[in-house]
Amino acid sequence: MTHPSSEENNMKQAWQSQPTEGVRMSIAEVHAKASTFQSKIFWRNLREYAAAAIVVLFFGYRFAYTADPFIRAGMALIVAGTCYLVWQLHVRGSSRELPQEAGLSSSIDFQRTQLIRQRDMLANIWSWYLGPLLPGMVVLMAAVGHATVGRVPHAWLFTAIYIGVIVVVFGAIDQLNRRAARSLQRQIDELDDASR
Amino acid sequence: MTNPAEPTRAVPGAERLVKASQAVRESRFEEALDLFGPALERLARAWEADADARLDLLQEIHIALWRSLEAFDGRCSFRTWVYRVAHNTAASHVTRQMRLRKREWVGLEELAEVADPADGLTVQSDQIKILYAMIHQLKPLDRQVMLAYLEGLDAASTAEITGLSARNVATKIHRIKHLLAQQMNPHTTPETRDPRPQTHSDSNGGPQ
Repeated sequence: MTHPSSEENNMKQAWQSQPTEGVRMSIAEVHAKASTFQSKIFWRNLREYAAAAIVVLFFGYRFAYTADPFIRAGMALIVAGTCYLVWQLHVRGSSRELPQEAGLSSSIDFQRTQLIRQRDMLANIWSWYLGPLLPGMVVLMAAVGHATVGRVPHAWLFTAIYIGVIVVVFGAIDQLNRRAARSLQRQIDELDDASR
Repeated sequence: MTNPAEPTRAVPGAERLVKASQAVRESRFEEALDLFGPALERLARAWEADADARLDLLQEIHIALWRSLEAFDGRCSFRTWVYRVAHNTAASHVTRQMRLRKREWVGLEELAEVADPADGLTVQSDQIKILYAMIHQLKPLDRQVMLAYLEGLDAASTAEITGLSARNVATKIHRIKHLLAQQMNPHTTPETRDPRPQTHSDSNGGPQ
């Protein structure tokens, strides 16, 4: 019968002696690849912000050609909320590049930091994502309802339904994110247990 | 009188220092690839089953290593530093991929059956294929312990790299041995061979 430690050593030896392709980047290649990565990140960020830019341009343009001050207030709030959201995404955005100090953090510390950042983003989604968008949408809906009273039957009823749907959808998004945040918290607790 | 528009001239001494520190960083990078190049390739294979994504990951590790070496100050061993950078880069990479591919991982305690190792690996040994199939299912932390074990790192180094307590490393290594015995030799009862958790103290490979 083979001795277990000899089996273990055989397995480790088999693992360590498996053929490798000898991939080795020169320093020039590292520099070139790093700048390609940077450029990819730049374009990816640009795509993410493009949707916000379309919203700002659309409501900014309509703002200039709308007389109703109530509707203009709604549009202005949407533009302001979207700008705030983009700024928050930029500040809170996932760090796609490993920090220089990655070698100083153990895997648990590193993963914990990442999970805490993601958990806080999800748990506080009202303060940076939903909250800034909601006032503009509600005011705009109410303003459109107000403008159509007398011309559209049950205008206020439809307005109340639209606003209600928005609030329910936002509430559901919040709940889903809170659930995801709780799941991340469980992973953080697991890491804490593992380090004790 | 100094013209404010004139660019500040670099002090020659400071320039020499910058060049010297750049040279040290370059030599450390080359040293890291000389010592750990094959281990980093195995690590990339263990973290990423897809061949194209694996090359991307390996390059990402090389770049992260290069960037990190500017901050290396000897507070931990060079090996620990390289492995931490590599594992942290790989863990971030697969976490991103997991979200995209909607995959679930399991812990060592739940890893009962091995997935079909038909992942396109060109490694010939069945033993190695089984190892990869097991590793690809594991949660990041368990995966790191298993890789450290297979690379021959001792328990103290594994604890330093992962941040796990020595007790937890010992428990996980015990489970790994148990699982490996089951997978490699399914007709033998593993309990009869190695019933107690042991402190993993062998260091049969990998430069310090």
